[in-house]
Amino acid sequence: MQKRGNILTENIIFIILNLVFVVILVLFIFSRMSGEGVLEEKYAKQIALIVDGAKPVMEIHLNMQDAVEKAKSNGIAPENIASISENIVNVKINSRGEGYDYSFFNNVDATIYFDMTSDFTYIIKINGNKK
Amino acid sequence: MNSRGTDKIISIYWFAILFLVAAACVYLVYSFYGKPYDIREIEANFLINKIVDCISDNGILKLETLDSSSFLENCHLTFEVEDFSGWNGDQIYAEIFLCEFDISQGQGPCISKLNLGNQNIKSDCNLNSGGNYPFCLNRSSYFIDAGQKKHSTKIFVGVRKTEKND
Repeated sequence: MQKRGNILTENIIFIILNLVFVVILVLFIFSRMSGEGVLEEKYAKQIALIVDGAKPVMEIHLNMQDAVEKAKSNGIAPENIASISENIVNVKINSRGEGYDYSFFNNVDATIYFDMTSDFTYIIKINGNKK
Repeated sequence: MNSRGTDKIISIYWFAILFLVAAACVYLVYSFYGKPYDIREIEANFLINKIVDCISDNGILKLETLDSSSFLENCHLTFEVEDFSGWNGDQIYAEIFLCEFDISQGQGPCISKLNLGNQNIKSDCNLNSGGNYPFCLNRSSYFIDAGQKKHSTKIFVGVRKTEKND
């Protein structure tokens, strides 16, 4: 009886350890997949490419649901996530750090703002060519 | 006794395998998500499209644009980049060649008409393209000028930005 009890306890500990191990691994992989740094880089580059490929008077709507949700959980207002200054796009999701910058070569007057009528959409507007 | 000893050895072996699998997963995740997205190929294609749009109008080559000293301003382009890792407006290079073209003889000799940006990128492109080197792209286009003379242009574009794309 004593031997049976030992085997059961060992097996339970073994299974629990395995489960803990797998859970930690899955959590790590998901945290990397939806990491703030990855999202900042992804959206900064995506917006820069959109502006590079756009022509004056175009208006592009970009769904940034994952970035908006992450920014809200970090205490950043949705309207402060993305900005364009001169020819540089900045995306900031984390309250620490300066966010991610990426430049575009299309010398246009571009503005980006959060669409208050929607929950997750940003609007990129190409107003015209720069003088 | 013997059975329990074997069980323990199997447990250690099992944990060793688990650690190996975990280490492989961590390595793969880091190598995939730790690497930046490389968008230089798309940038280079967009830049060539923009240059072609600027030097032509409905397939008619605007020769005067190639002689302009303010090509970047006229074509609404800027090679200024963000302040990062010592970058200083030197991350893009573009060169436009104008070539003679005849349908029976093909492309004739080319002359370099315009050099824009950092010329060192071109020498790096001769070594390799992409990865740690600048991404380089060449494209030929065919036009007629206002006098119906046939031309071809070769446009070479190199985008460095390696620190943010590789």
